[in-house]
Amino acid sequence: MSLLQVNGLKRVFGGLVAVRDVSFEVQQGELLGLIGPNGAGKTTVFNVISGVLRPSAGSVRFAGEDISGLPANRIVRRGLSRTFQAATLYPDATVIDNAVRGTYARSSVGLVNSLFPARWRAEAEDKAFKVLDVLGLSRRAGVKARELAYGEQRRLGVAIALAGEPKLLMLDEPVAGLNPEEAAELARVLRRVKAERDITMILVEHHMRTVMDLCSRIVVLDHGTMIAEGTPAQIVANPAVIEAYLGKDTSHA
Amino acid sequence: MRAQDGNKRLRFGAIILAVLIAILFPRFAPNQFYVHLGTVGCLNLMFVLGLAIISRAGQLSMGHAGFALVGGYVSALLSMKAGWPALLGVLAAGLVAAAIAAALGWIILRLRGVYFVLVAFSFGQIAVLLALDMSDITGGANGIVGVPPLSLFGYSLASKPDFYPFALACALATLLFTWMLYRSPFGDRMAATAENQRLTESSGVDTHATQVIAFTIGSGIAGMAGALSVHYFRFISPDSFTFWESVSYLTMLVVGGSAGAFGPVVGVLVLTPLPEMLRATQGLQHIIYGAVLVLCLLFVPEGLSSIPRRLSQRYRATPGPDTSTPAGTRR
Repeated sequence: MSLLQVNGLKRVFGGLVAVRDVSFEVQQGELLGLIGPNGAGKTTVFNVISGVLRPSAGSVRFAGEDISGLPANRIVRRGLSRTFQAATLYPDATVIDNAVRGTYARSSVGLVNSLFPARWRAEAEDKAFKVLDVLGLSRRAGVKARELAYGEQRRLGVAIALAGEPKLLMLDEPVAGLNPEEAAELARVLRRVKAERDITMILVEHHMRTVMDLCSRIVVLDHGTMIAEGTPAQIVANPAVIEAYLGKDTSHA
Repeated sequence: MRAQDGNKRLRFGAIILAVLIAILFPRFAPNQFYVHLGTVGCLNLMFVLGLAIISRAGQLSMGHAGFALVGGYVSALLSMKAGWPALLGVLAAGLVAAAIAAALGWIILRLRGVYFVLVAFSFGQIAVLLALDMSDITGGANGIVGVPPLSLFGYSLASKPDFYPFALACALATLLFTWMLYRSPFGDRMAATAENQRLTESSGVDTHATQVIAFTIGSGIAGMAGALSVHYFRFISPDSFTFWESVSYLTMLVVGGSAGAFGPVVGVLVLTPLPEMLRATQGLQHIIYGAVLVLCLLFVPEGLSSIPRRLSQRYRATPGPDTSTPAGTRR
């Protein structure tokens, strides 16, 4: 069953067409990679799917329903979460409070909760602790987020998104800025999360090894258009992809 | 943890003691002026708490006094022209101010940062100008004199010692409400929105609605407090709540600290009597007031209410071996 269907997606900024006619599907349980050179429109595609930007044309269907143009907060409550490129978190809150705030998507404000917040908080912290545990952050629960190492901050970003119990998690360059060990560690964690929680994932990434390692299928964007789609092995061998990344061979020697 | 329980009990005891002192305050007061100052402090606390709720959700309302002015006129006119009981007028004032804030907020809270500050500021200015201009209803620059006093179960609260307990009850109720709001899931969403709106939005929270609701609640409280003060002073004019009142509420919030519900209490306790205490210094009054503000901003930017927490952090940090080795001392 396809969980996400992107159809003829187009996004224009003024006169600039950032993304044109992008269509792909994500199957339940799949880990899809979205790659492309700088400025290819990967993040724009992400922002349109997650509701941060409205599509100029085309549609996005999630779990069989049209979600194009819905505000970001409602898309998240339907089970489509995303992380951000930079370490986006609540720097002055503790790690556990950061993760608790990730659970908002799955709890309501409610009068009973408001008058007696103790039970709501206990339940939310319980959920949050489980997520922190998966990402190896539970020992840092009492520390302020700004005091974490950069690698830990990136993992906390993933934890916040996971705390919302998404069906589909979109990761925007999760290993950018990490050293090779940290990147490998995060890739391991993501694989475990996917197996344990049965979460479908889309990964935007520059780091080729991570993409080839994790993804079962890859979509390649260049200058806002889709130039290839296939398994990692097919993508590596695809002449159009090689041209997009390395340039065309013009020396007809 | 037992230490935490003891801490909680200590804090609870301190609050009970503070409330008792506040209730018995008129008995100790050397003269009526102190009681008057106490009442003004209670009203100020309501204004500042309203502002604190708005700032908790990440917005700065420089038009806070505008809502107080609207509330004041609504209640004064309802009780004088329509013959409403004053207490009902106060409630209506809160609702009208909240309704205006909701409508205004829905439109302007899409504006980020400085634009919201400017529009809120303009609202305060427009409220003053309207009060001046619509002189057939508001009495123009002369204002409205002889607003009826509040009465509770047929008992008039016209005198200063009679009004004080009522003002204190209202202020404490607002404080309790604010405290509960901050602890509630909605209050948590407000704080999250202030700290990182983009991330909160993508955690499934409608941050725009959250800010509009906070703005509505805060401005509604300002409207009620404005109405209460009009029934206390028995007078309202366009000068009653101007931009400078907005600034002074903001100053109290900043000096006291906006992190918790008790910061505004500290700010109000310090800044309500300060101008009176400085009055003896005559010409230096404003200079010293300004110096106190600057010193506060320089040395306790998180507000006076953050001092105990800072001290306890320092106390906890000092014991135990110092693991860091200063550069150059290593052999």
